[in-house]
Amino acid sequence: MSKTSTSGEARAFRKRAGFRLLGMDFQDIIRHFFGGNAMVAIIVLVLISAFLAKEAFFFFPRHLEELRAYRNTGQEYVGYLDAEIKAHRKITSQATQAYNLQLRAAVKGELALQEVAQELKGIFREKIVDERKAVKDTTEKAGVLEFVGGEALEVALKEQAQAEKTLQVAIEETAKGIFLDSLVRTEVRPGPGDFDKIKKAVTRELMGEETPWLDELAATITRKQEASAEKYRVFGDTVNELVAAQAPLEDLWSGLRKTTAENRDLVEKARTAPRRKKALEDGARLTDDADKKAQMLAKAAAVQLTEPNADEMTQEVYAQRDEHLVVRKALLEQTRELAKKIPSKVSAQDSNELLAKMPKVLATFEKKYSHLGEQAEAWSHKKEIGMWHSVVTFFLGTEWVTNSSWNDVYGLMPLFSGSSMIALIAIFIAVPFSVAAAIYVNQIAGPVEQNLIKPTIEFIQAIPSIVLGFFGIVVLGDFLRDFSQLEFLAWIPGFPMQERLNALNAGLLLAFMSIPTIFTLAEDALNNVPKAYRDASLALGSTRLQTILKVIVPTALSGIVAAVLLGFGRIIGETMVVLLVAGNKIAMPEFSGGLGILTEPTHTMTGIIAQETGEVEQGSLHWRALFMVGMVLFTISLLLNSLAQGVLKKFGSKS
Amino acid sequence: MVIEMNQETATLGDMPTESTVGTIKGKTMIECKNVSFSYDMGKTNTLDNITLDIPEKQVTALIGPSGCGKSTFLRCFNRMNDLIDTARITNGTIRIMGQDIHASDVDPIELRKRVGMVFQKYNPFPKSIFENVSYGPRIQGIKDKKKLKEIVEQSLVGAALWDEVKDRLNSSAFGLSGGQQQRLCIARAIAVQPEVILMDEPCSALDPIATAKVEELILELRKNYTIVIVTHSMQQASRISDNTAFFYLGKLIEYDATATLFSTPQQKQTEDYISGRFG
Ligand SMILES: Nc1ncnc2c1ncn2[C@@H]1O[C@H](COP(=O)(O)OP(=O)(O)OP(=O)(O)O)[C@@H](O)[C@H]1O
Ligand SMILES: [Mg+2]
Repeated sequence: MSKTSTSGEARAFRKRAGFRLLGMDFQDIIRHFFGGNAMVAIIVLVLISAFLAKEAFFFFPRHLEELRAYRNTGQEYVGYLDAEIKAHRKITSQATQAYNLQLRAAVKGELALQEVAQELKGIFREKIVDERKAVKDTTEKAGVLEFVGGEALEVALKEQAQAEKTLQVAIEETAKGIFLDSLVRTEVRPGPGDFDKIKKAVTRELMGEETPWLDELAATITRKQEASAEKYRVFGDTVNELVAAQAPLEDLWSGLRKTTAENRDLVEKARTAPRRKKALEDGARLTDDADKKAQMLAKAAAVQLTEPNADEMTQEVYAQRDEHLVVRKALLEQTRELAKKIPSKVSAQDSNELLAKMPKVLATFEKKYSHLGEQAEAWSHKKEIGMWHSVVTFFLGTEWVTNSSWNDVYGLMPLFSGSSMIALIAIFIAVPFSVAAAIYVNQIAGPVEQNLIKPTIEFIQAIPSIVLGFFGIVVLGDFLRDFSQLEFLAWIPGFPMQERLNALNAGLLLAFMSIPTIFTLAEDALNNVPKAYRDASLALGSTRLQTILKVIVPTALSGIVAAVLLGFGRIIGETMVVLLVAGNKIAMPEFSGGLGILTEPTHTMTGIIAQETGEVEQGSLHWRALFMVGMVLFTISLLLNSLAQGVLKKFGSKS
Repeated sequence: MVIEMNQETATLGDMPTESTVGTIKGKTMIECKNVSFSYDMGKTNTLDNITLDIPEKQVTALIGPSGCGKSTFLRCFNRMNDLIDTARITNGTIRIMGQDIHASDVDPIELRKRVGMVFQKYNPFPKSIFENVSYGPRIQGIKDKKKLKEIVEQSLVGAALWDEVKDRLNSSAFGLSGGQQQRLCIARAIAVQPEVILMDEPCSALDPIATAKVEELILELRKNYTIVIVTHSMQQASRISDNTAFFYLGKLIEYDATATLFSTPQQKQTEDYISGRFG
């Protein structure tokens, strides 16, 4: 076979000469354009991550300095004293409350009557507002005219008398219209005889007459209370002694606290010293005024650059440690003695409830107190604090205290647990709703319903979160609280709720917000299940429900799980709603309270960043701590996303 | 991609007024009388006045040009058309084993347990081989593991697949070849012990060797089941079927014993179609 030359027809499929730029033809340019755009997105993401990481990770060395300062100034030791006092106060407040309730119980009936009188007075006053005002005005006028005298005064006095008379008539008229049923606020209903007496007394009082009955009532209350106090004298004395027993420890505490706070100031000053010095020197260089210049230079020279000595700073603490150990021991012994004198049973029901809890309170106190004692005894400012401590106290710390004049603490746990709590509430509510809706729309609903439900649910996504937050504050909060106060719902943990703004409220709103995300993705996953599976299953004689549960949902499961994970990511990252609705109380949830913690106000990782970033100084420890929180959020989102992708890749439908 | 056929140019001449029906031997399993069917609530009839009886334990082939309504007709027997909201039988009755399947007291779920179906594109579930075959019995409430194992083995043996898969019952059905997957679908259908098996072009996605195996299987199944099969292959119809029905534009043109229909077709359209002058 002879070879053909390329000169003939084959030219047709050679590259044609045409538009070229930098050695690229048109196709190449388009390719690079699109590729470039994708590249930009990736580069920006990398830059953001790098920036976040850089700002955040410098947190740990600075945090370490802070922890060291807390120890070197002796503040840490004062912290033990502080905790001891707080632990002891739990006992005193419990006992005081029980005692006061008992005293109140002795005069329960009289107090109730007094309350009724109070309410009646209110009712009267509301009805005779105008008349009372007239009396006041005319009296004032007469008072002014007194100095003028003459006819005008006479007229004014007449008017005043007239107004007073009208008021009296009005009071009498009003009294006729007030019955036992008019009372709505007081819980205790007085008997009809008592009520009449109260009404008469209140009427008299309003008319400006003597009210011996009411005075008598007040006297009775005082007398009875005194009698009761006499009866429970031992109890009362014990309570007072308990409170007084704290005094030595408190004195010690306040003295040391002052010294160590001053130490801390020194440390802070030393930290900023180089900067201040430089500022003064710069200022001196820039002024022309020779006097000022000299002044500034002198000031700059006077700036102390040496760091305060830890040994010196803690001297005072060591000096007082022996005394502290004696004082705390005395307090413990005294408390044990006094606790024996607290009666375990009195006559009032509610104070008995408190007294019943007393042994438990005492046990907690003993445990905590002895632990603190050990710590105080072993304390030394020379103990090294390692880097890992800085990391651990951030991630596992249970307190987040900022802008305090004493010592700032950055612990992630209260925020992390708040965020997780809200996210879990939201996901538990959102998943059943959105997955069920997706199944219904995809598998059961007719085209009309589909066209109604799908856009409606997807519209939720378009609601600005600030609007939802607003709704949470104005409507949902009140609704939930009123709802939780229904008596037959009291068995639900956390009900009745104390606060309108709390984790449950935020969780409900976030559930609502995440429904479209989960719904849309889950519906996609269901839609990707080949119709052939449905046909095959139905042709085998299974019902629609069996087909959905046994074939379609299992096939789409990986997609549904991915949808839930992405929905979770959306919930964790949501800021506005939680900032407005979660209640913003930074505290570890009381896990011993069981599910009741779900109705407590809480704070979140996103919320704290939004709330505090605006007011911190750039580059400060607080600022970096917020970045670190952001970094944690970023990592969580990244993990959730890659987990979702992993699930899809691993278990995604293989058809 | 859908290639639309231009029916104007591809015409087979005038429609006969009457369909020719030869004598079919055997006991009647499915009895169709004047069946008309519409996909759009009766506006246009996709099937028009079809009367034919399908005998028990024989293979009946439905042939005809694309779009003439073979699949539609087949899907009437297990009421799969019920899934389409606007589709309905507009006229006539279909009786299976003497029971009118559109009677109000007939449960389509129960009907489908007795009238199984094998689809054109093999469609095993994304589950293991065992789970695929045991799916039908399981939803009927059989929970006993031993019983299920027995049924699975019987069905796979019945579908001539047992020897090929017995060692990997728990691996995914997607690991099988196309022909094996189609036989798995047949095994899945016979696991619920139906009376009738409907097959809609079961070999159209298979290569000749796999096709031969499925055809062999159909001839085997014929002993126990009534089989209705839609096919585009004249050879296949003549190889495996006892009777053949020729459809054209929603009408039954001719229905007879396969040997008779292929050797001496009565209608001109039938003759044109089977000799390849059309289609
Ligand atoms: N779901 C449906 N809705 C409306 N019309 C349909 C539907 N399915 C089929 N049709 C129409 O009904 C007619 C018959 O279709 P059918 O699928 O029964 O043909 P067929 O004989 O099986 O063709 P083929 O050999 O190509 O499978 C066709 O004109 C088709 O367009
Ligand atoms: Mg078809």
